[in-house]
Amino acid sequence: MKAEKIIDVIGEINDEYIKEAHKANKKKIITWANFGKFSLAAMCLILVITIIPNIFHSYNASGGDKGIVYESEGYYVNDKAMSNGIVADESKAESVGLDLTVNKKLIVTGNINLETLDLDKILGQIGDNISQYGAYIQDSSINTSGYRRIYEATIRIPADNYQDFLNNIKGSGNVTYYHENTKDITDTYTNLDAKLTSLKAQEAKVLEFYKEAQNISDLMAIEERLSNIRYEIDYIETQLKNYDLQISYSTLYITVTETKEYTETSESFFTRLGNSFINGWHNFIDGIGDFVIDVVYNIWIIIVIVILGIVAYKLYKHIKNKRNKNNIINNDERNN
Amino acid sequence: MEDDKIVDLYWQRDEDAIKQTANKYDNYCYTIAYNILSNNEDAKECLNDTYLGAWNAIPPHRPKILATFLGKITRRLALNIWRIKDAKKRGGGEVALSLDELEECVGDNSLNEEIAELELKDMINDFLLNISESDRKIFVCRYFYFESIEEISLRFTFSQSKVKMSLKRTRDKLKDYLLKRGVIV
Repeated sequence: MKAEKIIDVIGEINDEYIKEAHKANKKKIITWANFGKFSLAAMCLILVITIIPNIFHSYNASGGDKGIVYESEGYYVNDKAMSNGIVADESKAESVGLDLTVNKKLIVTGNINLETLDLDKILGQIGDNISQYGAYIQDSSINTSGYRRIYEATIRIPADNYQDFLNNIKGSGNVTYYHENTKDITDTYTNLDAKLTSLKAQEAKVLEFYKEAQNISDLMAIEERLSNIRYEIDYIETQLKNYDLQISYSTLYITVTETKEYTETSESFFTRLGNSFINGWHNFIDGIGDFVIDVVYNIWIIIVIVILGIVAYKLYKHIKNKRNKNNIINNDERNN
Repeated sequence: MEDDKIVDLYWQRDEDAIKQTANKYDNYCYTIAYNILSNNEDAKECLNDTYLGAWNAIPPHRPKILATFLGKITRRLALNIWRIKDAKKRGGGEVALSLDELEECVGDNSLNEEIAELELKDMINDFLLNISESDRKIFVCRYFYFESIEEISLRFTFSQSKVKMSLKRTRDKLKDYLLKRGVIV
């Protein structure tokens, strides 16, 4: 009943929100059959305008799949292995003589895990870096597991500041994992952009037809075509806007784990053996601590179970004694 | 035909207005009705009532956005039909699922009956204004258009789990928002 009232009220929300959600529409299926002679002219226009930029684009990106040079995946474990995926790729690109001034559309996404002894301190540092580099937190959370706190956040950083931001973050704790992915969407973006240009030209052309239309059926057909083109334009513009946002703001997923001591790597056998012994002891102590906490947490359930157990035991004993007594009485009666 | 001209036809009491409306918005309104009723016949019947409703409402009303105006009428009528038809066999369908989700959002708290619907509408509008655009769109697709999670994920090219997460987050925020304003107590 309560939810039904909310459902009813949602039905009366601002028109803008309803329109906005509907505008995020999936591609509308175009009914090509409905617009007779105008479709032929419009399709020719699309072909000419779409194909020409693609031909130029293919020519500029000659070397074809050399474009893969810009796609990078860096995988790094621990601080010592830190490097920069993009820089490495740029050097490769230069070595094959490609012009990096071409406006590449790159989406950079990073994933970093850190350990820290003082979570509050590192949160302060992350906050300072966010202000300094014009980044923002998309979402964040702190979870408590035993005595440990784990901070997880998705941070969006202006692409130009990504590496500086990252370097500062890496310096603020012990990096246990880092992974970076650079996705090159230049082709997709260029194609969408070209399609948008062609659709806009097509829109202008159809508008001209609209002015010249002489009967109602023509007008309706053109109207429908125009509506379809505008849907397409809206859809592509939204996609491009999304891409622009992803390109201009890189994404960094951060996980910071509060720990009592840092995890070390690249140690000798005996150091590792010693550490295992010490860590085992710490884990044992932690385990006991966690066990005690779990027991206290579930104390009421345990008390109820123990009481029920005692009652059940007493009942069992009582019934058993009664049976024994009955048996004894029966035996006595038989003997007598 | 452009929306302004269709509205003008209504104002001139020209019955062609209904034909033009049906030509342009049949699919849009049918989708909303079908999402709610999950039945072809009922959805079509609902569309006829929608056009009649529009005919009765314009004039005096002059909608700024004809599509959403029609969408709201369709939604209201379809929900009424759904309530009558499904009163006996509640369960199933996107409306029932949406209700369950929002029921969870209100939780065990009771709705403050003194708060008028108009006031609540303003609050929900204000709430929607202050969440991210993406969350808002997903929320409206789910609870205004009653689209399934799968449809929303296709519409926005998000994974289904992302859509579910977004909806869960928005419902939690809505719950906090309504609690703070004394709508649910």
